[in-house]
Amino acid sequence: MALSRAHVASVRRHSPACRFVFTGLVERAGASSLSILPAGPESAVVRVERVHHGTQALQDQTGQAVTVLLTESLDTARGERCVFFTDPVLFGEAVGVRELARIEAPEDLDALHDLVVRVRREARLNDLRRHMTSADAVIHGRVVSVRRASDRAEPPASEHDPLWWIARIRVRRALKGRQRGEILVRFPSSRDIAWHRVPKLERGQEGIFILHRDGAEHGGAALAILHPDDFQLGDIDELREIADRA
Amino acid sequence: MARRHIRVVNMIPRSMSGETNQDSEPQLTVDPERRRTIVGTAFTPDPGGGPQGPVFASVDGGETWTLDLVIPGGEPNDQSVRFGGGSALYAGILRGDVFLRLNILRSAPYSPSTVMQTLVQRDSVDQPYVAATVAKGRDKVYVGNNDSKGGSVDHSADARTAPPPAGFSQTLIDPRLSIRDSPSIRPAPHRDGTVYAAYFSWRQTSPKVLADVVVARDDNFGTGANPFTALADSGDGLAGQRVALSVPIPWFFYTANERLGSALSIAVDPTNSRIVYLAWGDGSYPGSQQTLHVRRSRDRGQTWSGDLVAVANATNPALAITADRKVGFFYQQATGSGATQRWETHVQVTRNAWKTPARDILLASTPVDNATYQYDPYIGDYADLQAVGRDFYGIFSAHNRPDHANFPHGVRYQRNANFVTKQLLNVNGVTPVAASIDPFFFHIFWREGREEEEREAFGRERLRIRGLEYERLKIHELDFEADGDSDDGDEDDRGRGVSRLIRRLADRIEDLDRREREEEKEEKEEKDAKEGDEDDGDED
Repeated sequence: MALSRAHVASVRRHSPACRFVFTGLVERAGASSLSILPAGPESAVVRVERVHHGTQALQDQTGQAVTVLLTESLDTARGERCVFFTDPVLFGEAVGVRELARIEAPEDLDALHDLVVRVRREARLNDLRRHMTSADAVIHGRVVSVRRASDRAEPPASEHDPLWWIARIRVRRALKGRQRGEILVRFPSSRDIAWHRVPKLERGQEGIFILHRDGAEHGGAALAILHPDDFQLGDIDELREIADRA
Repeated sequence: MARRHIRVVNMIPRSMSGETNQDSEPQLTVDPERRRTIVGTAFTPDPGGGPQGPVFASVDGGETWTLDLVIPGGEPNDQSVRFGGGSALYAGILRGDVFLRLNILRSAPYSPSTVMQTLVQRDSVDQPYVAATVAKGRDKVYVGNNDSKGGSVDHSADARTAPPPAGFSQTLIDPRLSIRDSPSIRPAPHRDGTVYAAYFSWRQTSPKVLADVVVARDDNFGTGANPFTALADSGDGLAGQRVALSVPIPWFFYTANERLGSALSIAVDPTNSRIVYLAWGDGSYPGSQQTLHVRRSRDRGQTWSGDLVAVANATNPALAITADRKVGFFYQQATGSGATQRWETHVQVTRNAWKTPARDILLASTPVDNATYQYDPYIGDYADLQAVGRDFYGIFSAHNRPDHANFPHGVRYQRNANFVTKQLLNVNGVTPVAASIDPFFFHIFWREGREEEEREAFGRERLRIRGLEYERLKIHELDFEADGDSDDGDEDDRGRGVSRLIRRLADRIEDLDRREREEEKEEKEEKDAKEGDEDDGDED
């Protein structure tokens, strides 16, 4: 069963910008399920029936009652089933979300769900493309070896010191920039809160490396990975295509 | 005689029951004008994956917590919060989106879901730490931080309402800087204008790190021409009294998964600014990676006692002094080894500066579990203890296994947890959730036993009724249950608690009944009015 044009247009328009898309049943208008959020005419308690997009913490809300801060009043006090495009703002006894848009739930929820998933994937790939655009180099390569950036015994200056290591990477193909042969890339070996999400490279790893110049050079390496997204595994051909368009 | 009460609450909200994050390095502040409003922080990301970082907020005195997404820049690295006057909330953070970028933030008054305003922004800064006091209606705010140029304090004598930078200026406080200062720069202001600032000034890095423990002072809220120079060292005459010289700092040492190296706290007596307590950690005791020392000055920081107390294998010292001059000393101590290793969370309370052994309150004894280690710091480079009136409020991070044996004075969990199977459960109440590190709120208070105070003391009892519908209410069994511990509680207390609970139940039923009758009356009036209109129409 196809979605209406209006449904498709709403999903394409609102899904990329919001972080929590779900189908829900209005249980109480003018109500709140959060003690920190007073009930008012702009709030409603909605039972989440199906999550179409959200982090794992939001996926866990299936079957739970969330409080929605509405952009406009509901047509009925209860019993209305809608697809809500929202951003979470509070996590308490329940989740509180701010509505960006809302549409009547279609009959074919599976089709809507598939469309939201596709649109979100496109958004994610666009984010990756923008990240590659902002980088100084993007390569497809393989880690040949890793070593400390410095052998000096000086203690770190700060608990947030990145504790640089150097990876020697054999370049299979330069997707942005002109790197060839083997290059040196810095990565933070630190497990500190500031760096723990940045990938720690190991010998033998192969994938797409998104590289940055940060104005520093340690151990001969001016290029570095600095962000959680700077090492990409997965479909190399798809990643190459994204990089080519970056 | 005043009776002591202790509450411990796991701050992870019910809607986040599935979370397994390592929520370490917590901090806490209580609105002095509305004590039921409390804000806490930890290394907790936005569960929704958004661009703001969260604080934990409670509006019921710490019983219930909500994650409120108000910190700009995503999950911050270091962060610190304090209330000023008028429910103004201040924060010092290192933004999550730019490495070592300091933001000093304000929300005046604090309002849930409202992103905090940026007052100050500066790069290459470490570990901002906020302190605040109110004098003559003005918020005096101090943010200790380790700038790339050295230890400094950003300060404002009137921070509440002015547009950015709201009077903030920066003062470098270490005149002996030759290598660097440790990350911890800790201010402690007093209402009379005295402001202390403690820090470590490095003297050597190799073969081991040695540092002086220094206390600086300002006598007029930091408003003079040369702030933080009021206290000259009795040895070299430079600003800042060196309390201990060249102590070994266990910089980047580890114990029980926890990274060590900059443990420091200072507290000024709210009734007498001449009296100030200092706690720091160093490696001066053999066999102990880090030993905490507590010392006192009674002459505004010029001379200092020897150790009033020392605790081996400990970290995260936090000092606070109540309005009735109880001194609280919080710390976390590693005990045991290997599979039996644990983190114990203590608060020592003394009224006589440890002339006699202090009352040692063990809030938690939790396992050291490598499976819960995700990053440094494991439980935090600091925790927090605050004095508000005669009470202590605080926060610590610890392993969250739901086991009453781990919490000698009791604990309340909001997140779904089965204390029989000792298993965390997801939002659905069914799916098991792996253990991790959570922030825990605690409140230590003393009450004389008047009705109002009893209600507060027994505030852990809960009566929550939603949508009560009845034709006839019959109570077959009534069980009284309160979380936490009431020190020296007896049968009479519990009896009064049951009586109070039954009274509240009766009040609640009466209230629901009254509202139902009012709604019926309104419906009838609307119906009558409608019929009246229709009659008018018929006449037309």
